[in-house]
Amino acid sequence: MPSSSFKIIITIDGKEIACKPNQTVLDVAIKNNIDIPTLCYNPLFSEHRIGACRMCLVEIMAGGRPGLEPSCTLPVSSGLSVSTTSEAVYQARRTVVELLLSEHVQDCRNCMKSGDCSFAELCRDYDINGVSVCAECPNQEEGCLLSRNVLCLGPITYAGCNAYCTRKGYRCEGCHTVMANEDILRFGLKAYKDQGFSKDEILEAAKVFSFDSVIKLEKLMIEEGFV
Amino acid sequence: MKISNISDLDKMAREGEERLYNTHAQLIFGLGTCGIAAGGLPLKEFAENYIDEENIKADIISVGCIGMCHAEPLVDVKLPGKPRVTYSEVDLEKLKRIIDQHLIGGTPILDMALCQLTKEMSECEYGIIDEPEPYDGILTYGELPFFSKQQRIVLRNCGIVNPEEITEYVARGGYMSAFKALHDVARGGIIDEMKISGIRGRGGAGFPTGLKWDFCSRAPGDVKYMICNADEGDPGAYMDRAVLEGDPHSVIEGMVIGAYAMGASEGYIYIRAEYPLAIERLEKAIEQAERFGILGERIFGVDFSFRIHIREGAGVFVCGEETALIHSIEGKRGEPRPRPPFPAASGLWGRPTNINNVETWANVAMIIQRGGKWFSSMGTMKSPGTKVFSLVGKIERAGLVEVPMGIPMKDIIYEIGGGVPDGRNFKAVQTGGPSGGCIPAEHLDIGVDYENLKTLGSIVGSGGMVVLDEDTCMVDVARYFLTFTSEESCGKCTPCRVGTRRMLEILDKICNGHGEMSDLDILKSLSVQIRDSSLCALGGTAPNPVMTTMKYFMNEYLEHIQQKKCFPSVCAAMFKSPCQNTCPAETNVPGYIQLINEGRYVEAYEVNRENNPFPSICGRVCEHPCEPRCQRGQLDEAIAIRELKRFCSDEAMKANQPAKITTLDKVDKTVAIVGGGPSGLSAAYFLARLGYSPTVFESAPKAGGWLRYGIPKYRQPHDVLDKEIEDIINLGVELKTGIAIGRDVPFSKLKDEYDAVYLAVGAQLDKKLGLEGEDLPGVLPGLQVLRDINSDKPVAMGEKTLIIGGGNVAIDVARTAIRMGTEVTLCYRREEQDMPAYDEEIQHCKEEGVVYHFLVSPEKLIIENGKAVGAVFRKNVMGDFTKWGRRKPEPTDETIEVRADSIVVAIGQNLDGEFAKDFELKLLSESNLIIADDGLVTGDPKIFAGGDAVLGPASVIEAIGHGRKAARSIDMMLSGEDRLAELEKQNFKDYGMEEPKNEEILMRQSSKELDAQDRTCGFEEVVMCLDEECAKKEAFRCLRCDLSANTGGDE
Repeated sequence: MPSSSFKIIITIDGKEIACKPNQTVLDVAIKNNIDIPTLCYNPLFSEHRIGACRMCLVEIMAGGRPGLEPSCTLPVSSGLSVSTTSEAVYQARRTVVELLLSEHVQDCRNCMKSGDCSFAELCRDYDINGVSVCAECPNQEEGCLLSRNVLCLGPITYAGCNAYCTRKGYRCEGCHTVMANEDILRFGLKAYKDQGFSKDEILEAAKVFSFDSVIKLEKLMIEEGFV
Repeated sequence: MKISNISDLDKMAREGEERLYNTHAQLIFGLGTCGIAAGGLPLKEFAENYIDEENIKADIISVGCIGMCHAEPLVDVKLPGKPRVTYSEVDLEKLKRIIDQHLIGGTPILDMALCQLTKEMSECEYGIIDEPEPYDGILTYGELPFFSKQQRIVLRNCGIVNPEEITEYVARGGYMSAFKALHDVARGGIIDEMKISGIRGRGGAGFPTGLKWDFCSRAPGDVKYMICNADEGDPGAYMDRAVLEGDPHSVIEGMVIGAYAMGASEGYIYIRAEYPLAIERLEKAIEQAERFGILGERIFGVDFSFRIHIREGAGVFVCGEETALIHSIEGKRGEPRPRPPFPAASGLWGRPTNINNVETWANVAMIIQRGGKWFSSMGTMKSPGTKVFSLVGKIERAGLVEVPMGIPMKDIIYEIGGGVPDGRNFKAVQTGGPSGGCIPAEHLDIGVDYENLKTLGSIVGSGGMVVLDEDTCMVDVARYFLTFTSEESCGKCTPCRVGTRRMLEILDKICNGHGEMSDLDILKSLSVQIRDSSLCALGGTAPNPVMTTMKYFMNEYLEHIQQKKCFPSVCAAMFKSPCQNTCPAETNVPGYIQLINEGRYVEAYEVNRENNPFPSICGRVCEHPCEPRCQRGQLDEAIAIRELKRFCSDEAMKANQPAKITTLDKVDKTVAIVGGGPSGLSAAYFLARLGYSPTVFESAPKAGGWLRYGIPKYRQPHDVLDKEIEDIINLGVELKTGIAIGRDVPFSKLKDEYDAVYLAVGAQLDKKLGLEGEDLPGVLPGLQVLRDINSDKPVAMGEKTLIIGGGNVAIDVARTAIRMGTEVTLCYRREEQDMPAYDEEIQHCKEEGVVYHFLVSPEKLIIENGKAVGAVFRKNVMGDFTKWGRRKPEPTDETIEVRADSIVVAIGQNLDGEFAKDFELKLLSESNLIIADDGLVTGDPKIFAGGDAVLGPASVIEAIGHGRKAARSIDMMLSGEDRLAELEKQNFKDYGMEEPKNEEILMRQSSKELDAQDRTCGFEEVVMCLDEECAKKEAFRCLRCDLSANTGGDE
């Protein structure tokens, strides 16, 4: 076994970095402020890495079997060269986020992670239209504009703006348009209903969206038992 | 007794040989799991009792599977000094005869015996089968096509030795290699030998075994482990089970050698709990090996000890993955972990571990015995040796086969496997189970090895080969395998856990008829992402079935999505009944059968007419693609759908009521139809019903086309045809006969004057032989002959007629010529079963006295005095199989001469290319057929084409189906909506919708036929209609697939 003082040089995104044996690529990246997103990795349990979420995939360019490997379990070896930004890496990570989102209960308004949700950030980073403005909005419960009887469009609008308006206390105007996923829309409409907004009020506010979207919202509201 | 020197081992071998060859009479039962499942155990019990009672001196022995799973239960008889004779598909009655006549009487039953074992058929060199004098009249094993291409190393003892008797294994050279290795070879020498052999892991990935052993032996550490992976989970693969059941010692010996070479003292066999018999035999084998000092302390008296433990797996597919398997042995949840570290560095309990598959271990002893060079001389450069495949699915001879790597796939499927049964066509072969892919017919030429299959998108895998025939829906196959992998995904990594489920949802959507084109893109990109980013091979290969089916069978995906059609009638959500789904005209078959059952014959006829203006004709000459798909066929026999159609048509003719036909209001649009054959007239029929005013242009004096001028009157009388054409005309169709478009009326005029044009011109040009003298008198083109005879023109056939060809035209000419009183000889280049003509016609033709010459190709015409008077034929033999499963005729040196007064050439038809040029349409380069899309639209959106002009020579019902489709497309173009479906709904009939109670065996009713002598004296109709009683009986048999979800598919 090589002694721990023995230095290994690896290349991450074209930059040569010296590192210690027994380190993984992720360890090296964290130390050198190279951004690799993670989900199942927990620094508290750094001895126990399972490589399950596949979020930290990097592409091996040289010094190993070419292809994607999770950086959290990829041991450093001299001559290893990886890319954290290649197209393959981007697409694979994007698929992971998309797949996870497809399983996710997106009731962002009632989620305690709202406003500080790394998953919502990943959606933004990987350009996935999936979560609502509430996911990015830090105003929980009493801070929520809805509870102050302001008809905020946040619960039914795509995120991506980092909740620019609601952070400042203004209601969401629906810039990123209404969400397509009916399940999420129902969560939002339920929130409106609980606050006692009427169908007409919501339709009035939703006029910023396309005509088809308004029709769809109306249909859903009838199904949800709005008056 | 512990074995410590070579003479101990020799003594054991002598004992085994005594048991194997020189004892008294033996009755040998093939009792692997397959034999037991086929009913082998009661047979054995019966034999034991019988032999006891009769006091016969014979041993009853059970052996493992010899590979012929299609012929189970197998019983062999071996008399001292005589060859072992195998009897297949034995039942109690047969067994009694076998015991009485062969075991006691000493004479084999020739007509029952499958084959005899006269000499060694494996690569085994020791204790080989003594070569006794063969019996006359029984094939030897080598002569059976199933065995002729096999080379047996792994299966050397399977079905030969008693797996529960170690001495028999030793007699076959067993444990000699282990003894040699432990005594004479250095550890490195063993690994070198494995490296020279080039053997690659037989579990699927194909990693070089020698290299793997080298890594493990070099890994630091005192404690190392050997693991045998017997977690065989692929659907359709069972070679590991067969080896463990038939020859467990070969695996143990391999592990002893491996353990010695790598320095391990403990070994584990990880085996599925679903293999109880294999576990039982393995336990016995380990116990025996321990008794003889082959396992345990100081093996063979050498300072080396090794023990084997059995671990039963709970049948989790992912536990076949090595890291998951190790977790499972450790008692943890069976989940894979990222590699590195590889098991060779850190495996079981963190120690260096070597994992090999059962088949790999079973190869080891032979490699050590005969040397790595010998092993690498077999197979291909990169994939040496042999591989066991389990050949299953739609295949005549299913079973286990061991073949050298690189053997062409078609040899395995057609020569060994005997091809697809029941006259169905081959569609694909699925290799490698859920991790593999589907290989279509056009790639059957490839040699089977790791690299080639990988290029095709599949893998060798553990060796399952599932043959799929035309009744299989490839989208459904992909869905089936994805259901498997998504259920078996351990759930650890995101792409495999979530991704396979999303893919499955999309496939479900497509199979339920809700697919969209964008789904295909999602499937494609998800496949790539899941393949590249999953943690282990389960996820990495899970998309393979989808990727390969999308690569080779995209048309089926498109059919499911665009046409909402599943042509093989598997995806039950897309059709009502398989018969209706298969009919090109989509006739409501269960509906009219039910109406016949209720005695409402005229209404039954009307249901037929709804989709098809020619029920009477189709009742006589339809090739009935519906009948092979009839679900009743799986119970007893298919319903006589065509005969029932004929019955209700004849009843309706008798009733002579004006047919009730629904129509829509008149539309002020005109359509020109070129060609008054079945396709053109059908289009006219549907267009007239939709309110258009179609005009049919026919060049012949009368309408009917092929129906009138092609099909002889003894198959279909003309009065029936006239009646049905009249009904079409009465709907307001204008018929202009004797007018040829292009000659009498320019095509451009049609285009200008009509709102749409449908070209149903047929394929009327006879193909030529391409021989000198073909244009001389004496040579007649087949279609021409039929046309002349059917329009009552005189045809001079002379006294002797020679017909060249084997299709329907050839047969029609032959039967017509016989009726004209000539002697008829028919020459065809392949064998009888290859003739493209309908079977019943070939049979009728034979009965009527036509002489057949098979396997002859015309070479030159004999010309005398400017007239052809015969032909010289070259004899063929059937050569290799093509990838389509037909043998190629290969010419020999022999020729024959046939002389005749007239020679009729009927080797196929083409579209008249000259004629089509006027239309300025795109044609297929070789066959001159018109190119049209799914809606029968040609390059010009106003011009539609269908029937033979698009399909090439096709059946009547296909032509009618095209006519209907064209009418629908024309209507959709002119009116902008699909009104045909609406129209067909109008004529709703209220018939019984109760589940029938007819599941007992009821045989099919058949029509009466004229005797052959009565037939040939005239052109009277040969096949008679079912009588009322038979028709009702037949109609009662219908299972009414339209009522419930029991529409076949995946049982």
